[in-house]
Amino acid sequence: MPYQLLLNGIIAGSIYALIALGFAIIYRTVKFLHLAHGIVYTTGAYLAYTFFILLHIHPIISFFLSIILCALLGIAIDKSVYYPLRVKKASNLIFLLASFGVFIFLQNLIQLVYGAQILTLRTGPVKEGYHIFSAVITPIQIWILVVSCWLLVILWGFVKYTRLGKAMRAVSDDQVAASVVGINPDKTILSSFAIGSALAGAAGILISLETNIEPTMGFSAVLKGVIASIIGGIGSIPGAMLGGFFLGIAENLGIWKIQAGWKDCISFIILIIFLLLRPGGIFGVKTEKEQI
Amino acid sequence: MLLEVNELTVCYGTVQALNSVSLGVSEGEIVALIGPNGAGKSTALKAICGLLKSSGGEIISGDVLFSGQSIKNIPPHDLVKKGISLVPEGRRVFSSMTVMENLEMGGYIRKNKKSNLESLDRIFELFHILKERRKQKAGTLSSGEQQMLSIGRALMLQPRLLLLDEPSLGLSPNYMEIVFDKLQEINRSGTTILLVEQNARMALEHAGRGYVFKIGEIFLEDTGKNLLESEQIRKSFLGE
Ligand SMILES: Nc1ncnc2c1ncn2[C@@H]1O[C@H](COP(=O)(O)OP(=O)(O)OP(=O)(O)O)[C@@H](O)[C@H]1O
Ligand SMILES: [Mg+2]
Repeated sequence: MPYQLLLNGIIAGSIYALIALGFAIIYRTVKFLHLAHGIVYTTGAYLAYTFFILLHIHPIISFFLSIILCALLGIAIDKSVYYPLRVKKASNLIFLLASFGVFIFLQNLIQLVYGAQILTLRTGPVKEGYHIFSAVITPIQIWILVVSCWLLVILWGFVKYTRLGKAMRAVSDDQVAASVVGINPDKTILSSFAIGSALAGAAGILISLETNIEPTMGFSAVLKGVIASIIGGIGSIPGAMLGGFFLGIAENLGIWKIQAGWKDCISFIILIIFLLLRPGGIFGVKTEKEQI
Repeated sequence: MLLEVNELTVCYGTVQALNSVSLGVSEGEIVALIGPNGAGKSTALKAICGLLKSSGGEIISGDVLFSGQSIKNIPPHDLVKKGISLVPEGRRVFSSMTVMENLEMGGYIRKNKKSNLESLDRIFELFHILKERRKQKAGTLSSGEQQMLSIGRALMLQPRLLLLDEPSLGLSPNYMEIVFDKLQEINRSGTTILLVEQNARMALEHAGRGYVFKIGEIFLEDTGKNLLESEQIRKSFLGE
């Protein structure tokens, strides 16, 4: 058993799970594919770079500042782009295109401000890793795993037990019924954008501890997030988490037998297999009715 | 009058659905709106509870007063605070949430959780089955049970006015009877009820008064008993 690949898969999976969870939280309330989720992820990485590397702010403070700003970015995208479209009762295709537009616009803006070159959050040399079985895990990787799992647990509890979490589930089930019991759907949608975007930002920062930061990093990330969410059952919270880990592990174990260059292909092959054999995903039940 | 609708005209885009409709509901009454398909009954209810805008309709003229205050165009999530609750057409329970969570959501806006517990007791007393099923996902209930849940959810805030759109839709005759008996029981404990119903006989047997709609207008108004006996109604709605 290639433990190293499995471990890499779990770490990549935890990042995918965060992206997918944020995506799912937003998808549940708005029911369209918020592709601009990927650019929020990129923005998280660049904000952390700005605070930590450029302004020398303490890493923990940089982390929280960045995710708060990502949450605000999510709110701003909804208020300025999606809300006006919602009022006009635009179709899902229009939302998808608008979302793509926001993605491209912000990606170019980032490139304009920071340039196209590769940046990094790393400061010193890479520290010696710990050995478990035949695999090596670095302290940074332990951090990534701990923080992302902690966020996943917090979010799961939040959605299940808190008043706002329940309101978000109610809006996701039936928006009319939710408004009839006194839930303001617009406020709930904004909350889901704030929380989902904070998760995307966190994922962007965590991955940048391991790999390089570049303006285009958000595209494959959001694709992985969407695929993880679909194979888990689109809109399902546990599904998004499970889908993320499944995808990360499958991709990394895949290169055990296949050439590394095919890694990105694996996720799409998995997606196609799921769409053909189990379109509702692992946890999906009502997906048939919902149109993307 | 608890609820007054004054010369209400409503359009969906260019299609006029209501033409100068006036009706009233006094404290303590059960009032039924009946009439053929597309006559505008649901539209009238939506105009009262603020759901018109989300279905693409618009109040062109007229007013809606609740205990003397205009509630025209108040969004539904603000209307519950005034003491009006709606049981929407097709029940619309939160299907992925448990029965208990559904009822909790009924009391969502309430800060005082103790009153929620009191409401819960009353609702469980009214609908025993909901207590038995409280941990079950609402989506797995039968239509009749879902209807009870939807009514229970609307009762959580102990509204002054309860609105119902087609409460008997899709229910077995047995459940229809239970639901309407329960509505009378709810009414006796002090809740005013306005309901829209396809099943004219069932509605008129249980309501104090009824309004008969016809192509966007009200063409008859009388007590439930008189309407049931009226030759015209028997012919056109009761199939006799
Ligand atoms: N969302 C809508 N958009 C456009 N027209 C609508 C809409 N809803 C209703 N209408 C039209 O308004 C008129 C009244 O409809 P409404 O639903 O109020 O009738 P109803 O009496 O409740 O009928 P039913 O017994 O079938 O429920 C109908 O002609 C209908 O086609
Ligand atoms: Mg109707």
